[in-house]
Amino acid sequence: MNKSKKIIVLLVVIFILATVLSFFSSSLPDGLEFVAEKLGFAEKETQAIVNSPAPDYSFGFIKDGTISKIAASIAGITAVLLAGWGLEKLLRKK
Amino acid sequence: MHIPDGFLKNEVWIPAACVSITLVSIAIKKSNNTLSDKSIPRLGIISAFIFAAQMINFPVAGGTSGHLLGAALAVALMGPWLASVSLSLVLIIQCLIFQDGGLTALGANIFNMAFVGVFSAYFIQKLFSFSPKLLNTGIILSSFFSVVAASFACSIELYFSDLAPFNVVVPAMLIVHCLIGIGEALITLAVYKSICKIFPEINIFGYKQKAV
Repeated sequence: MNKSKKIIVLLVVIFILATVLSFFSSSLPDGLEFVAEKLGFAEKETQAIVNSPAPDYSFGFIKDGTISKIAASIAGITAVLLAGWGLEKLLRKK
Repeated sequence: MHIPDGFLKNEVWIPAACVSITLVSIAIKKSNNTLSDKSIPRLGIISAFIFAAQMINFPVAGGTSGHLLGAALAVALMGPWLASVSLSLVLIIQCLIFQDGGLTALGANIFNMAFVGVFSAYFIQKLFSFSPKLLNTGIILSSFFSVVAASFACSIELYFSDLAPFNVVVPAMLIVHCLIGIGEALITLAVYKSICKIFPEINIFGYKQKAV
């Protein structure tokens, strides 16, 4: 396998992780939420001070929950990929 | 352990944000050196992997869950500075696009995970890098302690925000994150080994690839 094929394989794995496997994600509170609930400061959480386009990893404007979640995952991965790739290009140029 | 808006006091999040802005700019400058080889565009790909993996929470004992932090994995694949840049990038996008972690807490979250997590992983991997036989041990311990160290930093910030007494919040955070750290270690080892198999040419920081 050449390098570009390997990179494509890796990207496919990443997209599968985010779009398929993320549906099996546990909905139990995470470590910090768990501690916050147990110690009684969970209610200190305020509304986010800025509105983001896809709170809780789903787009509000897509009605179907599943599709919304998949779309948000793909958008997120693409955003990270492009930002990382762009930054790396910039850094290499220097 | 993404801290939301409202948890941290101004006296905590403002200094944390200033420290993180400074550290991120240092990391960007320093990571220039690690990018000298032309192997693969790793910053984008590894960051995207970490982002995807962070979407998958695994349950741990006692009614809580955790997900991969990715600090030790990033250090093993890219060195500490680039790893910090990578984790910061993931945290910024999670915060701005997905409201995962508050904007006021972003500096603290970057400090905890992208610096405390990354550099604790780095020092442990460095400690074990003298012998290739200790590769797995280094990966396992660095993954475990990166999560525990990041949660410790987080609990200190919670304490200084007057959310809970020190002797309550610190042990509570550490115990939960010790459990999550075990998951982190297992996932990191498996992923690291697989990536090394797929990309034998990747120049892994701290370890000589041939010795693996």
